[in-house]
Formats: sequence, structure tokens, C-alpha cells
Amino acid sequence: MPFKTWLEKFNRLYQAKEAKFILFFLLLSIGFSIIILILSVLVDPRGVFGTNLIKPVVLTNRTEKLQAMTKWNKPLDLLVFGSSRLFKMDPVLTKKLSGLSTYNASVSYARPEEHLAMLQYLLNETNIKPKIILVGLQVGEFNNDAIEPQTIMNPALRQYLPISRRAVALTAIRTLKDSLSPIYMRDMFLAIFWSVSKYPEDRVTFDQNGYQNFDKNRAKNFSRINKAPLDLFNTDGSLNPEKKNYFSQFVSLANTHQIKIIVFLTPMPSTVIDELTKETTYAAMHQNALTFLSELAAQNKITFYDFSRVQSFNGLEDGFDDSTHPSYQNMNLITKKIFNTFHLR
Amino acid sequence: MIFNSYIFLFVFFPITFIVFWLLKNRQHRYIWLTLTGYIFYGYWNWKFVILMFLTTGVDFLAAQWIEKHDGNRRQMKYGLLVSIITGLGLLIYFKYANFLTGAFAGTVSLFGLALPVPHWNIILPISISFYTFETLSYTIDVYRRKIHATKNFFEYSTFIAFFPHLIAGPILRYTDLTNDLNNIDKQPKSEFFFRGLNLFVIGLVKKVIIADSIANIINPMLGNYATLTTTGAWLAILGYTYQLYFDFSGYSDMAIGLGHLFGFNFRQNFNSPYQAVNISDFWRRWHISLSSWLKDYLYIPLGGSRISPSRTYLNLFLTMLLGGLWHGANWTFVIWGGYHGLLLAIDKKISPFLGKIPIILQRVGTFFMVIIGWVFFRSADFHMAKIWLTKMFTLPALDLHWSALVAYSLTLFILLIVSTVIVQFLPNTFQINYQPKLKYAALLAAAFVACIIFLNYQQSVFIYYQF
Repeated sequence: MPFKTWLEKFNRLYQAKEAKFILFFLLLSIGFSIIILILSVLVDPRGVFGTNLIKPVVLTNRTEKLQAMTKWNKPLDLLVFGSSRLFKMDPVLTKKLSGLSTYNASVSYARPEEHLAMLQYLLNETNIKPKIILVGLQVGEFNNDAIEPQTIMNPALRQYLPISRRAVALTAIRTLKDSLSPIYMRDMFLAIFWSVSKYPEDRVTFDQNGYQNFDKNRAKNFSRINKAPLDLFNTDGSLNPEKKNYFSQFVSLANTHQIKIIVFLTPMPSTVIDELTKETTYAAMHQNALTFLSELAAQNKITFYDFSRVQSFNGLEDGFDDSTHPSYQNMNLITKKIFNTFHLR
Repeated sequence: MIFNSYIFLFVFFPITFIVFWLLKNRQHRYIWLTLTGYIFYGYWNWKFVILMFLTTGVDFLAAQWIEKHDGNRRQMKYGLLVSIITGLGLLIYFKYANFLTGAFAGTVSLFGLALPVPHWNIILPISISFYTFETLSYTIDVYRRKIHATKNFFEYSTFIAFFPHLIAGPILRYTDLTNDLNNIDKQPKSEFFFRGLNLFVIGLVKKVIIADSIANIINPMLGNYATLTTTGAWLAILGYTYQLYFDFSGYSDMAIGLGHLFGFNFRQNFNSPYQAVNISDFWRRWHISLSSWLKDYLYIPLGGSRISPSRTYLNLFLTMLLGGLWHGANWTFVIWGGYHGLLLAIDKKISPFLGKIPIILQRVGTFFMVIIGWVFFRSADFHMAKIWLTKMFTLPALDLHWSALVAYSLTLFILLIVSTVIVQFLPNTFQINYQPKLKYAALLAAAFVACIIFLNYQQSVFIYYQF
């Protein structure tokens, strides 16, 4: 049908009020969606897009901690790497026991590729040349999850990630699409509301040395294990080869720069380990992680501790803030255990 | 495929819609709707497309046979029997085989005998209950000479496979669609699209925002039903009462709206059922397409109310018992159906006296009876129903204090209030006088985008998909 005929048909159809209504509806639906997507990026309540116009509700910590380390103008001899489970490893205590100035560079959802990227960034972009890196690993880090979007979306780390531009673009689109959810909308509202009023006292923040601020008297939440830890163990029991490779590269890079690596497996309550053993491939993955890390230790590349069970470091069964995160008490005990036996050569 | 999914909203529907209206020829439109209906159905499991095709083909040919032998009752009955045996046979096999063998073994065990009961791994094809009833109504109506059998296979297959009503109704009769099928080659009119769009978006809101939000709260509660308090048990059943209504009526609105977008007028399926003044009234308002099917093809052929009162009560009871069984192969559905059958029989007996009761009390009483029935409808087994009802009626433990009500969830409490206002005071979707004003377009667009956002959180199937 010729275009002119189409146009005449369209004009005839459009005369009706209902047609105008429908067109208006379609345009507004697209318009509203675009506005929400733009707001998602601008408000960035989870710090994923890095716009930093409003403080995120959920701190990803990457931007904050990388900036802190970039601006560090004193020697930093010891860095703590790891996920949110390491947030309460106290740099002050570490310095007291080891004599080394310490920064806690742990970030949420940290994975082996993140440790590698972060070390490359620090060595190439900052003046930081640590003598020791203390890495807290949890077995689930070696699962089959894709690279964490928060890491991909961080411009400082992205350049050091083994990822193509296409993958970055797809991650950005997926992250944008995931922002169209009621939880994200709620976080956007909270970010705007708190920035105008006052941030809640129990919001996660960090000291200048990267240590998490927290209320020691806050009630713990030991309700039924969250689903998230169960989801981590999505392999058949084996460790993901790419994740192992990233970690091996991280260790090699550290060795090349004469940086000592101390690795420990982070603890969980016995009840949680028992449930993971029953419901997931945790036991097999844990055994494979022990084998892998022991081999690295045997090659003198790392010092390795398995602190999965609290008994291994004389820890406390209730020394956890929830079903997976060690409290400051257990982290202090781990720090003492490591530095009572470790000697810097 | 479900209506509340991205693949449907942004891929399947736009393509189906645009191509349909680009086609001008009637036959081409029949073929296109048949094809897209099979794609829609096959998205779930392509193997069961063959089953639906088989049922469609058998009933198409059976109707032709019946009409060809009009006047010869025996031949007509053969044709009808083939249709009924095929349709019901497949339905019974796929849906009730394990249930019936289990029930038979259970009955035999009462006599002290132990039968080894086989358990077959049979996948229940979705919507088989719905399209079986539709194909049966077609052949029965041809047999009764209410309609003429169509000689156009694709016209008939459009009636069965047209995707809006395919999966979970409304259960349509061929007479419902004859006019629209005959005029399928009509020109598009903006009035169709306008009304269809409004119905579809409102249905989407009912399902995605209201029903699914309630479900997210009460499902975990009912997952641990043994730990419910009395207050929790009541909150859960009220939540489920509204969840079921908004889920199913929302789906029906979407189906009817989608039908409008293609120029079809489907029958309404809900008419403020929770405003019913007695149980008979409830069944004139709830899942209307099913209740009218049961009335026309089961209750009336059994004699209806034209026989003795005791036989009428029995007919009511049996019809509803089978209606309960239609919903699923579980004794809880049978109990639910029997419960409603009993209520209908009692209502028929005492209805002359009920008129003296104030309307508000009639509505409250009917609502109460209906929600008791939903306990069985929702329960996985009789044990759960028993525990749930026991908790509900441990009345000294019922705490109506504000703090107890919101202890489970403030969100649930708010949703219950909103739901009550909607079902008791607001008009049905089909009763709204839609105005093509631009401010309403903005409101509808905002509602649609809100649904898209909620969909990103969850994409849950409709409750009636499992039937």
C-alpha cells in the first residue's frame, strides 16, 4: 500500500478521540519508562552506575574505598581484601599486632576477578605498594556466577577485568533493566529522602581506614538462613575454572611484586554449614577449595588458613551478625590467630 | 506463555496484533489466529499442541457427522459419543488417572485388601479443562440443534485456539463467538482498541500489583500454616480470598480486553461476586462462564429443578461436586465443590425466608460462607485445611488489636483494606464508563508502567492456569 494511502488511513483513524487516547497512552508509557530509567541512573541508589549525584542507599564501597586509597598519602603496608564478610576486620588491631599500617579494602560481593582487578588498579594507578595482602575468601566465590555487575560498572576496575566491550554493554543494559523493579524504586525514593532529611544511624558507613562503622549493641539477626548463601553454591561441587584462574593470576601478580598473600576461608555458624552441606554442593566445593589453596600454599605462593569452622581459630559460635557475616569479635580472634603465627620475612 | 510477561507484552502480542490487522482476508485471519494460538500454547510445551489439535479435529469432524445425520438419532448419538469419550477420556487420563487409582485403592483398603497402586508420571497439559469444555459445548449444541456445525476447520479452530481465552477462559460457547467469527474480516475501529486497552491494563494491575503482592505475603505464611496464630489464620484466608479474585478476574479482564483488541466480544466472567446476598447469587457472579456451563450441560440434563425437590438438591450437590473436581485431582477440591453444592441445596430450601434478613447481613453471611470454602480450595490436603480451620476458630486466641493485625505485615493489612473497598464499593471493570480523555490516558500509562516495574520483580502464573 502506498505511503500516502497509509497516511490518509492513519489521519482518518486518528480523528477519533479513542485513537488520540491510544496514541497518547503509548507515547506516555514510553515517556514514563524513559524518565524512570534516566532517574535510575542519575539517583543511582546502589552506586552501580557511578553517577554519585546522591549518596547511595546501599554502599557498594568500591568507589568510596578506591578513592580513599587513591588519595592515601601515607605508606600502606597491609591491605585487607574480601567481601562484606571482611568489613569488620579491624585495621587498628592488625596494625597493633603486625606493626604494619593497614587499610580494609573489602567490598561487597568481592570475587577472585575483583581481587585481581583491584590489585592491578592499585599497582598501576596509585602509589600503594603493600607488603602483605590479607584475603578473606568464602567458598562460594568460586561458583559459576557471572562477573558481578557492580564491578563491571565501576570504571576504575572495569579496565582491568577480563571482559569484552560487548559484555560490558550487555551488563549495562541488564543493570538498567533490573533497575525497573519495585525494590529499586524504593531504594531510589529512600536515597532522595535521606539526602534531603537525615541518613539513618544504622546505615553502613566506613571509617577512614575502611573499617565498617557499626553499633556493638545492635541486635543480631539469626532467623532462618537467607536464601542468598544457598544460591551461591550453583556448581556440581567443582570450582569454576575461570575463578580459579583469576585467583592464581592474582597470586602470581602479587608474587611478582614481592607482596605476601595470606588467605583464609571465612567462618560461618555450624548450623549454617550443616544446612549448606545438606541443601547444596557446599561440602564438595569446600573440599576442592582446600585442595586448590593448599596447592598454592605448598608452592610457597601463599599462607593459607581454613577458618570455616569457629573451632579452628577458637572463635565464638554466636560471633556472627547474621547467618553469614562474622562479627567484630570473631574477626578480632581471626586477626590474632593469624598474626600470632605469621612472620613477615 | 503468560499475559504478564515481557515476551508476551513486547514480542508475541505486537506481532500477532499487527499482522492480524494487516491481513484482510477472512480465511487468512482464521489461519493466523489458529497459528498464533498454537504458538502461544506450545510455548509452554510443544508436545501438547498435538493433543489440542487432536481434540479440535475430533470434535470438528464429530459435529459434521452429527449435522450430516440430522434426523437419524442413533447416528447423531454416535457422533456425540465419540466427541464426549475423546474429550472426557483425555481429560480423565491426564488429570485424574492417579487420583482415581489412588481413590480406588483407598476404597478397597477399607475392606482390608491392599492393592498395589501404580503411579504414572503424567504431565497435566495446561488449559485442558477449559478447551475440553469448549469443544464439548460445541458438539452438544450441534446435537441439540442450537447451532450449525461449521464446515470451515480454521473458523472452528480459531474458536478453540484463539489465545486470549485459551489458557484459563472465559469458557466460551460457539454461540458467543459466531457473530464475531463471521465478521472477522471487519475493519479496525478505534473503539475496539480503546476499550480493549483499558480492560487489559486494569486486569494487569489487578493481577500484578494487587494479587501478586498479596500472594508474596500470604504464601510464606501458609507455607508454615502450623505456626499461624488465630489472627494470622484469618489474615491468610482473607488475603487468599482477595488474591484469588484479583488474580482470576484480572486474568479475565485481560482476556476480554485482548479479545476486544481483535474485534471479539467475550462474555463477562465476574460480577462483584463478594457482594452476593446468597450462595446462588454468588454462583451467578463468580466464574460465570463455568457455572453457566455446568448449569446448561450438567445440571439441566440431570433434571435441574423441574423434578422433585429432593432430586433437585441432589442434582445441585452432584453438579457442584463435579465442578469442584474439575478444578483439580485432589480431595480438597471435591470437598470444596460438595460444600458449595450443600450450600446451594440449603439455599434453595430456605431462600423464601432469607429475604427477611437485612441485605448487609446477607452479604456478610454469604461472604463468610464463601471464605470458609476457600480454605479447602487453597489447602494442599485435608490435614492443612483441618489445621487452618482449627486455628481460625480458636476464637479466644483471636487478637483484633491493631498491633496484632499489623504484626504479620502492615502491607498485607493495607492491601486487605484496599481490596475490600474495591470489591465492595467500586464498579466492575466492564461497568466503568471509559472516557477517551487524555488525563485518563496519562493515568493508564502510569498504571501500565507500574505493572512493568512489578513484573521485573516477579512473573507469576495465574492461579487458574493449574486447572
